[in-house]
Amino acid sequence: MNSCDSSRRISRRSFSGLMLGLSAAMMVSTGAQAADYPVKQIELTVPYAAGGGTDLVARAYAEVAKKHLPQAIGVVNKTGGAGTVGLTEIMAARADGYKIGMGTVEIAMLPHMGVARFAVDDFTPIARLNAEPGAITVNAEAPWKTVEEFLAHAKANPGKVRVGNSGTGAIWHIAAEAIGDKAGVKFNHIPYDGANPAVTALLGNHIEAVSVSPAEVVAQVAAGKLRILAVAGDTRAKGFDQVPTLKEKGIDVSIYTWRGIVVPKRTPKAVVDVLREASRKTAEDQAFRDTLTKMNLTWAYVDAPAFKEAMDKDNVFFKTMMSKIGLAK
Amino acid sequence: MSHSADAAGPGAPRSADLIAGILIALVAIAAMVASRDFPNIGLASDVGPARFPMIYASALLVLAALLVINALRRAPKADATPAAPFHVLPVVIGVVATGLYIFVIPFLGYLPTTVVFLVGLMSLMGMRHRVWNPVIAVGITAFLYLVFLFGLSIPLPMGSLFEASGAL
Amino acid sequence: MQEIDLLLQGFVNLANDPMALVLAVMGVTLGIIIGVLPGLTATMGVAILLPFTFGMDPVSGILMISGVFFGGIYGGSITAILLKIPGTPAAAATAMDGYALTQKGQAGIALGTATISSCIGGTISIFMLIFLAPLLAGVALEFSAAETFALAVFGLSIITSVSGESLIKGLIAGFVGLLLSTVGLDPMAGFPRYTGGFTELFNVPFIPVMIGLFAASEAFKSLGQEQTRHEIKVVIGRIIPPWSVFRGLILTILRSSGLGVIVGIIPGAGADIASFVAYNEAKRFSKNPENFGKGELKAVAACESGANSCTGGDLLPMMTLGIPGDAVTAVMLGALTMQGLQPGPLLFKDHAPLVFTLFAGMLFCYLALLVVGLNSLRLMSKVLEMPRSVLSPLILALCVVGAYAINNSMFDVGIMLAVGIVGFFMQRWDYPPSPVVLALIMGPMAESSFRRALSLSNGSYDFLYTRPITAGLLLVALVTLLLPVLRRRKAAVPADPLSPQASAAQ
Repeated sequence: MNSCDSSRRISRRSFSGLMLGLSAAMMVSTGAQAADYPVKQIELTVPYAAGGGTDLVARAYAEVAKKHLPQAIGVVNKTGGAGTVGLTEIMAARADGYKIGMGTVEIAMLPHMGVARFAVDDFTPIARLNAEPGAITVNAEAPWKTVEEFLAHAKANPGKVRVGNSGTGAIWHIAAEAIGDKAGVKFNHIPYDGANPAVTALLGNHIEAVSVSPAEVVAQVAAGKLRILAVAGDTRAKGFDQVPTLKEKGIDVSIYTWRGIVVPKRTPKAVVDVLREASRKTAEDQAFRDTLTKMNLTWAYVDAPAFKEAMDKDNVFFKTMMSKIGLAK
Repeated sequence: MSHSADAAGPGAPRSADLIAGILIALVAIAAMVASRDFPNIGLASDVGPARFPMIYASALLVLAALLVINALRRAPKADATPAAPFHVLPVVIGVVATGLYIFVIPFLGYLPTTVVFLVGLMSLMGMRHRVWNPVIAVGITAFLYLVFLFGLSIPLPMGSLFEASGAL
Repeated sequence: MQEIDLLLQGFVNLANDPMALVLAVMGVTLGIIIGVLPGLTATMGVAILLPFTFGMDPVSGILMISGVFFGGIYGGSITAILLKIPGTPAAAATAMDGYALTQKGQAGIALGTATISSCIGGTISIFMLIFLAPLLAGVALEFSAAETFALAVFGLSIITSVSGESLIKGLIAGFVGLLLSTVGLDPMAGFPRYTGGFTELFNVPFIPVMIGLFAASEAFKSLGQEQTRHEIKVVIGRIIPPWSVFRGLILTILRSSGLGVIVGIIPGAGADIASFVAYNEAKRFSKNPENFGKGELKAVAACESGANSCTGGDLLPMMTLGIPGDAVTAVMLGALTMQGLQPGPLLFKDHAPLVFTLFAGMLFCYLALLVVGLNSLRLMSKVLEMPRSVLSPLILALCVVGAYAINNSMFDVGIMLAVGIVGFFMQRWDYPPSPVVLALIMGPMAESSFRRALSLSNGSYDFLYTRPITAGLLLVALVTLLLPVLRRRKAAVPADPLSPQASAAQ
């Protein structure tokens, strides 16, 4: 620590520092003193609005991480641009570990749509915390009881089966496109402003299906209003053990939305290791798992190497999908 | 802001309608030109991203034309309503000061800039007390900062100059 | 009726839970403060509070959040009436007549009426939520893209009735707002329009625009006025309107509340739309529509009861179907889920006693809103006694932090300033700001739902006339559009000295 420098700065801002009771640690120079890391509060940037799913995962993580880190984590929402604003900020942050981010699947999607300044490689993954597969859900009154029947109907009526998604270029739109591509059918994709309005439209029978995750329709499925035909994941979804995966039905589509902790590319290895260890403890903490379960979110912790591998795989997948459906720039 | 010297007071003088009409027409035309580059990506039966801006911009063009025509038809009579005294200079200074203030916040941080801004603006508006100005300014600044930090957990900018300079 | 028993039981449960009551009152108070501050909305208040409620029991947590929600919707009206600065988009409609009343020296009655109307509207909406939920939930599902489009067109047609003196200038303001509403990602194809490469502009920065339009422009204006003005003593006068006056408002409040509940139920439509719709209908039913915009108490009553009755309507599909219609209820859905109460068709079956305790608590929240509101009004009105040389700088400082707070973004603050300058000229040259707000709310809704409806019908325009709700709403829109034009023709516009700038003449 450069005590001379820091004291000068403290005196310059002394009135605010005293008034606000901010700890002197805030003012201390923040070089890559990884051995001491962390010596001040860590800021966790969330690229989506407070109260949403990503935000809730972040806040649950920050809360439980208190136990496993010497310093607290504060959650800051930087919204806008379908996640681009916040993700860009995470990428461009100083790589000292005091500004970490809640990365989402959009990291692997937005770069291919010509709207983002970042690429997958600009982030160092720390830990994946949560992942939700896509699914095909229909109204309970619909005639299709199985995914085969549904796809057969879609094949017989090309461009007529309306599948609601959470926005053009958003994860569930790509999911529906991928399913249509692999199954050889043509859907009429209807973008909505998020998953909820799409589910509402399905409940009102204005569309034939939605491609959102099982977690987003769980209440209506439990009440017998909607029916999940198949899950677009590697394994069957938790809580829906009777619902088959598309892979079981010979349609090789696996698409997940995920959330996890990421830091800027050049973050020192020592800092990354501290965060990885803390994230592992946090993710494996029963309190964190319970919070996710309560929110109908699926716990899906993996450590950095596996997370990195999944990100790279997604990156390739979305790149091909985006150019296939004409969204790539 | 070149026309801010228009001293006609409240209500819209003829010149204002003419200027506004031309400005609005320019904005509408610019929007139309820009919308020609909007691609139509292959969603089934969509009118494309350019359709609605085109409709709105066309309507604006018509309205701007009506505004200008009405203004030209109206005799350039002297303003009948006795205008309340209105000073343009303080407004210009205030707007520029606000712009400067917003510009420097990211560098110098919220706290010092806000205090200076408030003291300055108060004196611009005729309050020039040596003790009360700074006291009120510091009070307001501290209050807002604390409310946002603790009440809403939104930390206001600390200033990048202070953050970055200390790096080893 | 079974509901009555359950509700009474709910009140008993609530009475045994003083902590929940205290937290509810705290929530309402917090909500009012958030509503008063420009830029801070009920949505934001609810989202920020959410994590704090995780540790509370379900009743306390949900009631505190409900309190913030209700208080946040109401609080926006206070500054709208006192300073013409709506704290929330819904209060933009209230500002028109509320501020005119303040200029007439009737700030007290305007504030009191707003508070009482808010309470009545909200209470009615909670009762409808309790007794008519299963019946009304279907409305949410009837509304597909075609119906939403028609609603948006109806909303836009209201521009003609809030245009003030010059219809052309009102329409210009409206269409500028509409053009502005196309900035950002196009709703169907996801193409960035007019963003100039700024990702911050992917969504229309609605709140910064509103702050600039109303608050910053007002502060800039006051910089140029004679500084002796504030010496004039502002009289607040009585707050609770006399019965003779209030009696004339009852019908308006009831009608607006009914409208508000229905608007609330419709997915994607919230308090801002409800308050403009209520304003429009109050004007339509009024014997003196020409008084609207010049300080008509009925307008304040209509806007506030409309906006607040939206709360129960918003909650209805969220609780009964598990589908939130807007951002606030989406967060509340999260709150309920976290408490182990999964909203949806099974909620009332599985947790009836708890749900009815919550309903009882929500009614209590509205009572608290009335009490806290009425008692805070004198304190709030002190703001008018503040010298302008302190008030205006304070307002500008609030504009800056308010614009910053939505996205933690200085970019938004810059937008606020730019719009503030434009707003200043709009004021001086008689362009009303309300049409811009309406257009920014309705514009994205109109475009996205029109294009979605077109996709849903595979490219056929039939949806415009084959669907009864759509056709009906479009017809109402047409009537709204033509009515003021016809009225203007008849009245031949008597020259009116009370232009919006008449504040100086007071």
